[in-house]
Amino acid sequence: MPDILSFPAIFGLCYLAFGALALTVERHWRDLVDSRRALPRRTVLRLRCAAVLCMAAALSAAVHRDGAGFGILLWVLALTAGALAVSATVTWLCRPARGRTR
Amino acid sequence: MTAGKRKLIGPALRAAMLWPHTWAGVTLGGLLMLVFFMGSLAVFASEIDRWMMPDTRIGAVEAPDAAVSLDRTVVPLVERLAAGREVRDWYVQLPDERRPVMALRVRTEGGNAGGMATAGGTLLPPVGTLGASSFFYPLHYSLHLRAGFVGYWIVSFASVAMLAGLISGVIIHARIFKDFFTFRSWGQLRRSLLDLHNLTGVLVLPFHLMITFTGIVIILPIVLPAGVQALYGGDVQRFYDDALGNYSRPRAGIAAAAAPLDPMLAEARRLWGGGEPAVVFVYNAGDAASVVRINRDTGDRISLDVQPVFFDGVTGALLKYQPPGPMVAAHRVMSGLHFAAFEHWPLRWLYFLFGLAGCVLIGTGMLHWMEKRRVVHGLPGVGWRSVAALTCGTTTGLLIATLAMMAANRLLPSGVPSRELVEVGVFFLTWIASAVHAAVRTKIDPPWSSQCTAVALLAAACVLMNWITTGEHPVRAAAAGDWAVVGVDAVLVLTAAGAWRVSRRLARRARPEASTLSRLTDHA
Repeated sequence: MPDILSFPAIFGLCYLAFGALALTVERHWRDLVDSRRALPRRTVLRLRCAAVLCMAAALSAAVHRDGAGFGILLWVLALTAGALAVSATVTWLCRPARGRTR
Repeated sequence: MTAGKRKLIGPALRAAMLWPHTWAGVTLGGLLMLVFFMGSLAVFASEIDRWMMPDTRIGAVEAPDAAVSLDRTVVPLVERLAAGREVRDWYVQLPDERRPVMALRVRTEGGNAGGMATAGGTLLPPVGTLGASSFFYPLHYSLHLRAGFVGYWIVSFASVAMLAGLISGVIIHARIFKDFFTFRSWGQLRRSLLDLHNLTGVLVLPFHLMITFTGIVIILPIVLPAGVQALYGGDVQRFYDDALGNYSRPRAGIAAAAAPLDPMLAEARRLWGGGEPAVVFVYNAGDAASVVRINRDTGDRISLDVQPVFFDGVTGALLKYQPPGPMVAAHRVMSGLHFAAFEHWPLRWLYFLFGLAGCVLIGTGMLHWMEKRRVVHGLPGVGWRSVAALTCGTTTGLLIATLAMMAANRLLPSGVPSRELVEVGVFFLTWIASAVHAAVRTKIDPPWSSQCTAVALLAAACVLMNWITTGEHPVRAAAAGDWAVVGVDAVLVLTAAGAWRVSRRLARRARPEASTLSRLTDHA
């Protein structure tokens, strides 16, 4: 992978991982996916597996890009950045829905 | 498991944790805001330096094979700076990717001299500013109170409080996983503030714990001096000489000719097995006991181990090259994690953003306290108003002071006597003025709106004045590949736009009667 693309790829994988985790949170599942049916147990497991896989892929990409020391540091910080981006997305997606119900 | 967990963190423990969390935040929040904000700026100190020192905005350094020759280029510069006086010690910071100029410092019989020069050996006119690396950055760790390490003590005390605040915050926060991604920007202001406080606290926790802990570790010999006191009789210099593999010897008083320096550079490179020299020190220059020290550039690794190599300045023989012990090596890695001196742009931006996230964490904590007390106590008293003024003075007030200093940097003519101190004066006077303004104008709310307008105007003025005084607007800088100036200008423009939007929104919200009225008519 070209060096310039690897950082967006690492960040994107972290974003996807936390996106999957955000859907396993009861409140966000209700707001974003299905407001009537509760979150099925099996979906939770699948989403969590996907999240772990994405995080592992991001870690391997980061270590491949920068070596162990810098790779792990970059991975930890990219995880935080991904989680913040997911939280901003959730806020942005939920805003109009909440506005209408109020 | 749930029952066990409930026992571990019960309501009693939470309540017990809440009051130190609140008190630490309210009393030390302003100081921590300063530390976090200046620390975030320090990540880009070199870039802000280029912006504040237009003479040093020269093209990037050529390939390493065109490396600076110490004997042909640097030594004549040292002699010119000494201007005929006898040189005692000197050092040079060699140019690198982020700082394309050499920085020299010479200690002579009759006082000190310093200057910057191009890699080709042309001495630049005096920069006339302390810049980010000598003002914002020392403010971050020492508050410029160096006498008796008072500033270090205050900052490390605040850092320990920050660490306690982070850990107690995690214990207080009852719904970490349920609210992991939750930020409700709508509805009650108090809830939005708490959401943002929790969000930045939980999601950026790994970074905040790391940066606070490593920050304390760096100055550990100053914070916990017992070991140095017992083993070295309180002589910190001797402790560092031992721990970091330093070497020093007193002046002999016998004049001796200096050995050529360039072969020493080559030998140091060979000992390191790759890597570039960053700083060269010459102690006791022109003396029989002359010592040359060469530090390695740490841009390619996390550890801040500069692997100093010491040579005899007269014979050129190797005096000392000692790898650090395991404890010191661990300390160097932790320092490196904090300093972020490595060449890694994504990491540098992440450090900057998460440092600012720390400011958001502290700021929202203080704002939440203000909103909550307002609900509990009704009409604000003296205590509430002082915290409100402190919060305003350390958030928007600090921004105004920083931007005012940068504006003064572009406005003051180069001929002003001790120009760098005038800039520092502008910084502190503006800061005091904005804090006084905040204190005087806080009735129901601090003067957020007017201070945000000031931030927006000052940030925009900085970009414009950089354009007018140096002729380098962002588009031209981008075309010339001067990314330091582009970056600083871009952040200034973003600051201006953001602060302007915030001030307009706050000005609209400032009339509660009108907004309540409109909501009533909406419902009708």
